Amino acid sequence: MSTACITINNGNFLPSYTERAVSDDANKLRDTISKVRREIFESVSIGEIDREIEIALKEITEECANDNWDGYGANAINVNSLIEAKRFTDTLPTTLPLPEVSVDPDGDISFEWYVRPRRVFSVSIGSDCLLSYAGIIGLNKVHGEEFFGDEIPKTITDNIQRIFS
Amino acid sequence: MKFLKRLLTTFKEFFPKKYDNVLPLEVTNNETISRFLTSRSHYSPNAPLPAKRVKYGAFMPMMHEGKWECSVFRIDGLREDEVWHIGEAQIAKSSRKVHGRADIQVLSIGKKSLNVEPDNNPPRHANIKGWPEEKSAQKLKAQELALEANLAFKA
Repeated sequence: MSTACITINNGNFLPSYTERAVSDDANKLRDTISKVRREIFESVSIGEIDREIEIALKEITEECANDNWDGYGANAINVNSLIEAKRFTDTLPTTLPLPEVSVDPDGDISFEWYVRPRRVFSVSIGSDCLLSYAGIIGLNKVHGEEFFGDEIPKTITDNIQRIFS
Repeated sequence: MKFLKRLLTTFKEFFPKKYDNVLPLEVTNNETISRFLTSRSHYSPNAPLPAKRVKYGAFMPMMHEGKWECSVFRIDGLREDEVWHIGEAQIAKSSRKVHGRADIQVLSIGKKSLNVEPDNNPPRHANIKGWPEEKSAQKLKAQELALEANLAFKA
């Protein structure tokens, strides 16, 4: 007998995988994962985080829907970045605190974790699945770019965890 | 009393407003510059007052004529109401509300290998220049500026 297992990656036990497989088994597995996801996100603690991020994304989308939303000539919110941002939050480890949601002048969504001065980390979600991150963690400074594939790159989850450690 | 008020108004009109002053095109390290904040992406509006802070988004540059720059105003020698007048007149004219401002010394900007270049267009206007090309490096510089900036709200 074989059993389907869901791996625990970077603290998220329900990663939002991209959908490439087309067989009957793959479809069944996808349906099962979706069902489990729905049930888990109906829980108060996990579901609340998900709902809060959804509300923040909705509010920021309304605020930045048009060009020049900041009075300095910023681009309107990038729809592809918004889609990727949603996938990013679905993939985010459920053990991490809620980030603050913002929009960059180029229209990309960004998530920021702030603990106190010199404990801050931010990730911008590019429409091309490119994550631009930067952070100040005590005397250390980090920045770079990572491709956002099936899961959030470990460099990013590690840095988020560093600011809370 | 009314006569005195009228006299004062007439008297004031003879002199140019300080916020319209064209300043020299050199900045000094101890000058303060302001970035007007117009969005929740620029500061944390939901935090309680002592915990409110400037976000890096306030200082993120925009590409203008092939160069990255962040628009700011020089505020030394101005009263508070005159500083806010600049924000209302120059930034809020595009139907955006000015929520607050981030004040920072030129010296702090210089320490991040960035520089302030005044253009006096409009008067007292300047740009923070010298930004790196890579977005993540820009974010880091903007985070460092946000950390050193003072958040101010209209009284």
